[in-house]
This record gives sequence, C-alpha cells and structure tokens, in this order.
Amino acid sequence: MKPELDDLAGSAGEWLRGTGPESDVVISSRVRLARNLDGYPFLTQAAPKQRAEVEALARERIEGNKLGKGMNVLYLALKDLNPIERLFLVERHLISREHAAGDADRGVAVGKREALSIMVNEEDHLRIQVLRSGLQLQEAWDEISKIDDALDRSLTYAFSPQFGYLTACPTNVGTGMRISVMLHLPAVVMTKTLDKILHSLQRINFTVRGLYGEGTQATGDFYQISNQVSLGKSEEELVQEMQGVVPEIAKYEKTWREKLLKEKRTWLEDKVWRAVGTLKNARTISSDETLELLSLLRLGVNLGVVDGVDQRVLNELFVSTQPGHLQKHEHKILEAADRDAVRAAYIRKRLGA
Amino acid sequence: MHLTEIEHQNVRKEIHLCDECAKTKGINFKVPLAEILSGVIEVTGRGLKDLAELKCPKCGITYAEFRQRTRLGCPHDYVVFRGGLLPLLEKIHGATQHRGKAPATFASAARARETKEHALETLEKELDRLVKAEEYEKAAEVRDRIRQLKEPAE
Ligand SMILES: [Zn+2]
Ligand SMILES: [Zn+2]
Repeated sequence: MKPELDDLAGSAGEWLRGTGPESDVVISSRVRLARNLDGYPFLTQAAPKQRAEVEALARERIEGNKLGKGMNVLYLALKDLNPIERLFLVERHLISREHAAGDADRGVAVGKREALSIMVNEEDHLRIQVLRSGLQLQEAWDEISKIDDALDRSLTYAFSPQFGYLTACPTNVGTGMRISVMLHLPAVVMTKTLDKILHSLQRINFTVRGLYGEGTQATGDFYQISNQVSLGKSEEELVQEMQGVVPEIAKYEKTWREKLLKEKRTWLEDKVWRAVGTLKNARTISSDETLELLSLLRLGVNLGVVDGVDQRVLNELFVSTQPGHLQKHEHKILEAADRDAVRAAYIRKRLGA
Repeated sequence: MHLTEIEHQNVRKEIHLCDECAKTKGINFKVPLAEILSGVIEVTGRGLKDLAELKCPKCGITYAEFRQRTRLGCPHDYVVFRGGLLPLLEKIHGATQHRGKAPATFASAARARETKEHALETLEKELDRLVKAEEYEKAAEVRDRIRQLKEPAE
C-alpha cells in the first residue's frame, strides 16, 4: 500500500464537510477544465513514448509549479497503484472510473484537502477539477481559473481562437469546462416528482445522471447535474446558468420535504427511525442498502427528525462505506459477503452504536 | 402527493438514469455523439465520401475513424476536419465560436492586435483630415507612422 494514500484515508476531503450554501440539498460543486498540450496527439493517437513524455512533462510542471498559496500537490502515478487503491481514489471523486481502469502512463495530482485534482492522460492530457462543499460555483471557478493560469505559464495549451481549448472529444471543446453539482433529492424521489425536474433540465441543455452504487443502476436519491454546452458561452455565463438553476431545484426539494413533514410526519419518522435502527444494529449490510438508509438518515437530520448525528460524519459514511474504502481500511481484498459484515461493523462504530 | 403508492409498496421503485434504460423509457438524456454524427453525415449527403476520406497529416486519423470512435486524434484535426466539425459543433453546442478565456499568449496577442488596429484607425482618420486641410508636411509624418505600424512585427 502506498503510504501517501493513508494520509488521504485519515482525513475527509474538503467537499465532504457538509457546509456551504444550500448544503442540506447540495452535496458538492465541481468545476472541471479539459486541457491538452500543443504539439502532442490526443491519447487515442499517441504512441507509448508520446504518452510517457506528456506524463513526465505534465508531472514536472505540476509539481514544480507554484499553483498558488497552499497548493502543494501529491502526485500519484497510476501504475504504482493496485486496484483497491485506484478504486479508493474513484470513490473519493479524485479520478474517474475510466482513468482507474486505463493502462499505461497515467497519473493524478491531488491538492491539499482534496479540493483539487489534476488527472494526467485521462481522455485529455489534463483534466483539472476543483471540488467544493455545498453550492460554491463562483468560488470553484475562481480557484480553478487561477490554477489554470499558473499551468498556462509553464505549458503550451492546444488552443484555437475559433474553437477555444482543443479537446479529444468535440463535446468538451471551447471552454473545456464542465460544471457538476451533486444533489440529494430524497423528497422529490419519494413523491415521484423527479420527472418534472428532469424534463425541464433537458430543455435547457443540462444533463442529469444518477449516482451509481456498487452495481450499474442509479441507487437512491443522489443526482448530478452538469452543463452540456462548453462552446459559445463564457465560463462566467456557464457558472451563472448553473447558479440560476440549482437553487430552484433545491427549493423544490425543500418544499416537498416540508410537505412530507407536515402531512405525513408519522410515516416519514417511521422510515427515518427504521433506517437508524438498521444502521445501528445490522450485522451485515450491502452498499446499496447502506446508500438508501444513509439517504433517509440524512433527510431525517436535515428535517430535525433525528438529532445528535454530525452532518460531516454522515457525508463521510457515504464514501467510507464503499468497497474500495473498506478494503483499504482493512488492508486486504474482501469478498462481497465479508465486505458487508465489515461495513455493518464500521457503520455501527461511526454512529456510536 | 402520490404517497399512497409508496405506502403500499415496500420496495421503492428504482429509477434508472443510465443511457440504455433512458432509451427504453423514451427519455432522451443525452444524445450519444455517434447518433449526432450520423445525422450530420446524412445531412452532408453528397460530400460524405470526400469527408470520410479526409486524413490528418499529423496524427494519421481519418474522418471516418473519428466518426467511429467519436474521439479526435490531435489538435490539428480541428483544422483538417473543419468542414465536418462545424455542423457537428453547431448541433452539440449551438455555436461554433469560442467566447471564454484564452491562454495568456493568445490573450495578449489579441490585445496587441486590437490596440494596433485602434491606433491605425485613428492615424488614418488623422491622415485624411490633414490631407483635406492640405497640411502635407504633417500628413507625410502620419503616413510614415502608419507604414511603420503596418510592417510585420519581428
Ligand atoms: Zn438502469
Ligand atoms: Zn490529427
């Protein structure tokens, strides 16, 4: 096991703090910029030697660069990491599943408190991302733009005045920017009013994706909203558009939460307390059931139905109960059944049962 | 509220947001790039064969290969496949002109260009005025400055 990863495992990322505007509904805000180096082919056409060169160059510039105050990074070459460690990084939102599964010269630079990560040789040469807790799009954009400027001073980006930052996939060209906001929408899901949101979002070119559990189906109540357009609008405009949409959805979710509390209080309290009962007593629990019950508990905490549970502990549990984290914690590969037992024990401990 | 449904149902209805399920449910979440591409190719019609055979001299990818993989091979492809990419970008983004930030070198070059153009404009107006006023000596000076500005930079 890489010792550097233990430092990460020991503390939770910035975005899990459970604070920031709208944090009862908005889990996190993420801004990502896709960048490629001029003079090198994109990865699908790059020879092994070129890929290695891109990684070495990017790594040197990222590590040697002053990205800003307190912006020291930890660089991890993926070929040095085993599958559990890669999964661990995926679960912490530091790398994508595709990046974890990829071969050859790839890496990731992780900033302090995991608020920053730079994937090297993912689909594009560089994928810079800044994560913030709650709805903090402007802050995330300001920060990532400064990091981008710092890298721009020592690397030559592939850019055209007409098409902007040139990317391997034309869906990312222009600003290279993708804003993603992760939302917790349990009341909307319970009242089956999600479709309304989905349709109105599609009309204005936003994509919605469910958060996946261990399987391939969207599990439960977490949804990620992203902008689809990256060309023809400035970064500020894209931030403004998302900033205009998210509070509306949060308001919608909160209206339904209040309505549930007012009109179906006993039913809701029963659901929440049963979730608490299971989480505090289960001897074996799957990751899908965990997600579902933690979602109910989170709703209960936000509505004041349950108290004495720290929002931060809850947010951390969503991540630390996932397979990569459990196996990393236990320092060994665990079969699904063993994981379920370890998970149940871990949850009981964290919830002080 | 539609809660009765839930109360009678112990298992919560699963919501599928993956592309495959979205398709079967008739919800179009995100049009896959390959679909958009084939649409564009059809529209392009006659030029299809020429377009498909275009090949980037730098990375060796052909337009047909790009269409198949939906990933470009190198930055130069945006120049080589421009004809095919313009309608595609219009379809994906509703735009074909970048309006965001630029690398410092481009930004300062653009600023310098603007300043120079502005200066030239002012000087040409001045020249016009001087010629009309028959102040030929001053006009000659201004003309020299315009010439200097128009010379390509080192
Ligand atoms: Zn599905
Ligand atoms: Zn090329």
